[in-house]
Amino acid sequence: MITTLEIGGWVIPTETLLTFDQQYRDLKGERFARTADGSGIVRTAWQGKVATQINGTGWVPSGFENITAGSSYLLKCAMPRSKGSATTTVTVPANRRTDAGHQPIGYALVGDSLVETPITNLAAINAKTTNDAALTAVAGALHYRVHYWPEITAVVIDSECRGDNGAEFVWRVNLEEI
Amino acid sequence: MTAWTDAVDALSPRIWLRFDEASGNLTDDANARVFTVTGSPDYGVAGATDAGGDTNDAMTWGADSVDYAISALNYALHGSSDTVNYSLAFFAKTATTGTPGTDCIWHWGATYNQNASWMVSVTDTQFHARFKDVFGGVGTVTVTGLDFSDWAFAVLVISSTTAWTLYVDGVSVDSGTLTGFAGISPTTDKMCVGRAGNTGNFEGSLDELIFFPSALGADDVAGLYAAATGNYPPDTLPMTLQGWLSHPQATLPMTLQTITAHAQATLPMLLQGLDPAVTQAAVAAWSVRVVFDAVDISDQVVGAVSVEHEESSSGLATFRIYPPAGALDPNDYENKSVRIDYETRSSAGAVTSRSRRFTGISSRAVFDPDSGVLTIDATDDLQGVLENTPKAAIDNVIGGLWSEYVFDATADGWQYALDRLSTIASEMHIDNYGVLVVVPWAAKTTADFTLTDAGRFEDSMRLSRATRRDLLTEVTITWDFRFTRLRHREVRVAFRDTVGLCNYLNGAAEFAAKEMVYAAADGNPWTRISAIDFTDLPAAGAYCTPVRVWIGDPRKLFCLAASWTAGRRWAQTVTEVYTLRVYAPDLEEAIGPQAIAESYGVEATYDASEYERDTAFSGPPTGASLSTKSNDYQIDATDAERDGRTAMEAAQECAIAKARTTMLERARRNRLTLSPVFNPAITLAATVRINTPYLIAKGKVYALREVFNPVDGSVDFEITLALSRHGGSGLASDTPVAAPATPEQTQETDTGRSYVIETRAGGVTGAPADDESWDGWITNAYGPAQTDPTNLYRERFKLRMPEIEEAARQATEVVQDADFEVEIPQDELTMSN
Repeated sequence: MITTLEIGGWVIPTETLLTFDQQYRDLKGERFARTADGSGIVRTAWQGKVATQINGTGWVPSGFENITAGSSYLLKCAMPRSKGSATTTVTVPANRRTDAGHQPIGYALVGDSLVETPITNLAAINAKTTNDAALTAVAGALHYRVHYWPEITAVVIDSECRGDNGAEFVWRVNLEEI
Repeated sequence: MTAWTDAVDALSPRIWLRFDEASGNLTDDANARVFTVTGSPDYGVAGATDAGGDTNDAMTWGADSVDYAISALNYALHGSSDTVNYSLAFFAKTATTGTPGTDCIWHWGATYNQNASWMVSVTDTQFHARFKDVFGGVGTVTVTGLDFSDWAFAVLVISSTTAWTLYVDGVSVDSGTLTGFAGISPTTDKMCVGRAGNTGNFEGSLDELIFFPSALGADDVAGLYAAATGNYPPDTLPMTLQGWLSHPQATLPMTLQTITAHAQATLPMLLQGLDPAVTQAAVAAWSVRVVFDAVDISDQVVGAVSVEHEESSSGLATFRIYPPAGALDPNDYENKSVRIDYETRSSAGAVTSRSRRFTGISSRAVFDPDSGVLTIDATDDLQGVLENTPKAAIDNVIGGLWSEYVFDATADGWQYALDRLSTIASEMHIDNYGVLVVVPWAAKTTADFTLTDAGRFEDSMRLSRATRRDLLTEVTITWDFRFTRLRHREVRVAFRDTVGLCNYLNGAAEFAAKEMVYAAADGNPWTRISAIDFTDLPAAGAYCTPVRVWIGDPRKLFCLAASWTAGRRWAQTVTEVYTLRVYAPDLEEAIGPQAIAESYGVEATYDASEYERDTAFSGPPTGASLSTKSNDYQIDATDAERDGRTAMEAAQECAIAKARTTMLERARRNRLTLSPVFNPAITLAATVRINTPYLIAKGKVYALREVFNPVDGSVDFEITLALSRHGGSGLASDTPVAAPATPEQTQETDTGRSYVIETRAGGVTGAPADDESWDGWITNAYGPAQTDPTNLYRERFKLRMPEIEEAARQATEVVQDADFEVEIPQDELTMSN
């Protein structure tokens, strides 16, 4: 299965790269503080946004000259994230990819292994008429999870690309969800 | 205004026909648009309600096909879109079966074009509405089984373009979805009442037809029905309680009306406010809402939103926004209304409660061209509000005392309010909802909130104590009250017979003529205020031994003696000097004397010249009484409203109260500052108790600062308590603030109130030489009794009335001292280590 990274329509097949990684960092307006008796207090103004850093190396330049720092793009992520549930119904974020090769995949945790299990309403999930993925029950499952590929509108914070005389290019791009 | 008109106005009607005209065209009460009446409808018929003050008028539209009223609109009834929410309300009564969809009550569209029109009609049992767009799409509402044979209140609510709900007499009777309804152009040009197109007419009576550019809720409709008729819908108890219950003077009058009461009926009630379980939870989600110029701009806010309140100062708020793209004029962002709310949110992000933190106006907008951020400062404008508030209104709100002899009479409303406030142990501020409130300084016996270490953040507590120089233990007020005392002295004047009839007859002296007595009695600075009581000569006859024949005084021209009362008036300046000592013994016991002195004066204006000039009096002045101190009649000219004794005493009380308040204020300059876990219920009006292992204190909130920072999720909350302390033994008790007693008048030396004159006769051997300083009857012996013709006196009847003594005439001064004890509150404050 070929996964691709897309930034504003600029497609990068990750399998064509020598190395590739993508990090997710959850963003939130949240303060943790301690009262005078040591109790922890959490105040959350917002949450649910994500920042991501994508790194890669390859034989050709990144082509990120086509994207502009400070502008927002539709980012189709190449690395999946997962949501879990104790039941066979797993609610996945609406901001997810549904294109071929990046559709949500259901798993059951059986013992210490993940066993793939079909999402019975995958069509509806892909049509985004629902976010509740219904997984086929697996005997002995401890819980279920769905892997999905985020698709978010993000602003490019910065990017860089470096090449060497070995014709290897190293690049990095940082984005934050709008 | 009435409950009905208030209820309607509160929902912002776009069109409001009351049908209360006596004749001619109809006026739209919502915007004065004129509806031209065609035909001959009946005016002034009995209406559905007179709750709105229209004297129960309505109109009846006859079968005559030309009875209708029409108005050109040429604008959208609601903004620029027709795909939003609307409500149409009216009272109607009709006995005709009519034609649903044709015999219209209300029609919006081109007059003779049935396309692009909205029509609402009722028959005796049916409600019908049709919404037709220019493309022929039609949505209809048909509800049968109704009763319009008598007045009924119908409200059709269209929401979300296609959802409709029909209410009759405040109760939802049906609802559904319009099919094919696509709305009409907002530029459609006519609105018609009583007729649709050129065909069907409504036959019946109409009252209070109202178009609202919003989808009314069930409670809105029930409220309108109740306001109009005094009845709530018969089978519901709609209750919507909205208000500012955190206001200290807030009340919640409630009337629960039911048509019937079942014996087992119960009325469970839950009054929901900010839930401490949410606001104080260890994990809580929140948001801040900024409404600027009546528009929610929360999505434009960047960075922290700060709000500050402090006693007797304007509340301040600051926030920053990214203004919309395009030209920007910071002036457009100034002097606009600002409301800031703190919202709690559920884990799912839904707003679960909302607490107003600030209400005011923007005072300054500063644009940063580099960041594109507009920083807006806002104020609740306490000073501006008071500057523009009539003094009578300030009197009602602030209370306290005021006197032009203590304060500046030319001060503006702000200073006037501060002056009044300086006489009471209270502070004023505009609360979170924009209401001016006055709150006592005194900490409540039971604190509104108690904070332990679990309720405050670590390393956040600071205590600053008032210094000795801050404190005041005594204020000595010297007070002069100068006025005019109107005095009136009466003296009994007696011309005493010291000669005797026989001596007269023997020539020892001439008889005194009454004319001379009159001339003397009336010819001096004193005023004779009584008739002269003469002792007449006896009738003719033989008298004395040896006998003397007396021919008599048949015309009564002479007298043996006479007496009368003479009066004299003058004005005396009196100054009452008061020394008023306002002192706090508890405080002085702890820190020693820290005293200041103040002085005030009042002069009761009175022009006494006329009083002193007036000689045409016959007794004491009105209101005067005989003083035991002076033995004169007297009255003090101190009844002037502005500067008389009453005003002076009120001013004294004002000064005493001001001194007391100053001492109390200084004694509460101990401040305890800490950062509790944010609790929106803590306001300036609250009393907070801090209970920690090392410090316990209780006091009223003096200041608070809230910073809501969505960037990092922090809600920084800092409160400062004012703690009143004296450090003494606490034995003092407040002396009531009251003007001291009027000082007692000085006892004057009694100079007597009688004056006697006698007869002096010259021409007698051994008589002293004539002296012009003599008064009385100055005459000579005659006949054989005249033994020394060389020493005859100039005959005269002279009266030299006594002068008013200096002590009674010159300015005098009396003193009075009074002490006023002040009890300084001792707020709880204990520390340990």
